[in-house]
Amino acid sequence: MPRYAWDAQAGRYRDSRGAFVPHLRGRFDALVDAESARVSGLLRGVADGTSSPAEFALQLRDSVKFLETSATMLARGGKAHATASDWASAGGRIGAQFAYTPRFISEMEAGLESDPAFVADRLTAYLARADRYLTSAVGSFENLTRDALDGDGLEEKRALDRGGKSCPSCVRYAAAGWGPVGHVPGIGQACECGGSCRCRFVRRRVVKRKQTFSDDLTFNDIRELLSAAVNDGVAPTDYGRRYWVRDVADSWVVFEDNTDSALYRRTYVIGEDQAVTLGDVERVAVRTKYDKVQMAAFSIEAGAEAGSVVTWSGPIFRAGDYPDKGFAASADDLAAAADAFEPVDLNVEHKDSIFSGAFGELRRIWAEGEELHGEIVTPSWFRDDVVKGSKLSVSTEWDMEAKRLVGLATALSPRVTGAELVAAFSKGEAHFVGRRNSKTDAGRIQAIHDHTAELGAACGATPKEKKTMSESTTQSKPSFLDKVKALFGSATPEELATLTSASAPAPVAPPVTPSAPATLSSDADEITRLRAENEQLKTVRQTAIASQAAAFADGEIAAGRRVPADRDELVAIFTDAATLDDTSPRTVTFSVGGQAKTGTRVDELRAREAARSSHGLLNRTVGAGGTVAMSGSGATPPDDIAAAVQAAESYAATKNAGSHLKAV
Amino acid sequence: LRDQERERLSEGADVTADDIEQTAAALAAFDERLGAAANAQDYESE
Repeated sequence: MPRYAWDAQAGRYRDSRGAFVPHLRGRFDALVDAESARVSGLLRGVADGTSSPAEFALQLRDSVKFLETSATMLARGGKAHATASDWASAGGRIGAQFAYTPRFISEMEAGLESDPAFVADRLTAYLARADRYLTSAVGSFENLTRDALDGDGLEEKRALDRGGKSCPSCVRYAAAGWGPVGHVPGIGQACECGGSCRCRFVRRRVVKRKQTFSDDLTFNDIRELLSAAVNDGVAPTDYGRRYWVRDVADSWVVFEDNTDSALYRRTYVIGEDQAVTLGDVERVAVRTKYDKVQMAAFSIEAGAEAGSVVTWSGPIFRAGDYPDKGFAASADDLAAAADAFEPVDLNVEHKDSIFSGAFGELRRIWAEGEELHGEIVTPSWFRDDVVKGSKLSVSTEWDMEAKRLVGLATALSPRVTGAELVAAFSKGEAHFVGRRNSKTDAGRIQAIHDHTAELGAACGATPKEKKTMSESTTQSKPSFLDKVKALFGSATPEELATLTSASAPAPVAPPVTPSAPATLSSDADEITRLRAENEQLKTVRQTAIASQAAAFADGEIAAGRRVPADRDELVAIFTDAATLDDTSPRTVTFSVGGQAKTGTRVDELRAREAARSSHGLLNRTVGAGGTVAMSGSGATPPDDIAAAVQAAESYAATKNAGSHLKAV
Repeated sequence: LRDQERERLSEGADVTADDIEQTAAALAAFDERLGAAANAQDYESE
């Protein structure tokens, strides 16, 4: 129950917190309405014969007295603060109203004697008349309130009766607008209606113009200026309407209509003279937006690479209270979240972008006591070209209510640092600890692990673990590097023996690069070493191809199938074919002596060249009789030569037949 | 008019102590805030 105190200096009530109590006029209006209903009921009873004029008159007098007593009591600070003078004045006003009742009663009684419908026929007018007697207490309430009020720092204006009962003088006073308290007559004073209206006074605090040298306005100054400005737009006839400033920005103000709670926005400019210029009114609504909550970021590490995919794993969240996020999760909550988890894309900084999901996926999560761990799979280029390292900071996104993990995003600044994580596979055993893993899942993950280890990934498992994990890592299966060395012809005989021995266990070949450490300290070192080796092997292979191409070209020239001018072209053709065979191996089909053959591109090239006929231009043979004959081929049959000689002689005879020379 | 009614209609308009107490009680019964105002204490004495 509100407990008010009367501040006699201010002439206002204060609540239990010391704040001024809003004007009680609305409550008093309700009181008047209640009394009016009671009086009207009796008047209707007189009209239908169920009540007597005296009963109505007594109720009217009681109501008038009650309302005037209430107005005095409420306007003067309660029964403890109203003075004898106040009550004497109240008695005078009550007496003035009482003076009307005898004539009112006599009129009705006389009329009813001759006409039982006398009151019924005049009921509307009589109801209005009775209401005027009661409504006079409203003017008393307003005027007494104003008299008690300390008007310093306040200004007021007249607001008209929204029931349209205001007289022309009331309208004129309202049109005067804002002014000091008392700048217009009180309700029912100096007007035609005499207080039968329900006009009221509206007050506001005066915004004091700054008179200092500083032109700066405080935020409160701006708010008050804007409040005054938007309420200046309220028409005098708009009874009871008030705009409450709800929000202020640099260039606009949002305010609420107290009659219907509608929100409006207007732009504003405050001039140097602190005059407010408002823009057009627009209706607005508050929009509620729910943002995903970014939780503490953790750092996870890249694990092994399989093909072009890298698996990252590590803790992604820790149970606890996060009061700044309004979120808390226990170990049980994390376990439940893991059970309900569905894979989600990896986002970037918790923002929608074209990169959302482009970098990878959170495949699974599992609870480990107070920590929630996750496994992310990304393309290897993400690690190499985007992260440029083996540590990735991530943070989680949660459905706050259901406590379900709904997203994971990269984060620039981990909130929790120093979270040392365990890379997948680094223990020599795939992490299929999570309860969601089926045997099939475990088998797949183990297979990935084994394959990755087979390709040369470092495995930190103990010998025992390695045995259970994969036999291949402890037996003689060649590593990826070993295979490359063999392919490029740089393996030692011992290594080749290992590679070609499918069953005989043998020690794994030592590292290719002499400078490479025997034991790699980290995956990063391993990657760096592999890259260096790869570059080295590329160079070796290119040198080998160049040498083979040169030998091939020289061989073709020596065989007479090519001339020296063709050498460069032939070297280029061979180099292209050999390079393609390395980078894009493909089996091609070609013909040798009418027989279909298959092989590499180099094989095809060799076959094609071998099928060419020797040009013989560079072959010189010395025939019998000292005759030097140039022939197309050193292997040309003698019969062919004889035929050629015969043909030449025949041609000469034909040509000489018609000339002065004759063959003899 | 009955005599009782005539007597009441002739009563004066003065506000008595009983009127004040009855009014304060009626206000408290009608509305919590009006009742609090009608029975307000002095702010300075708080």
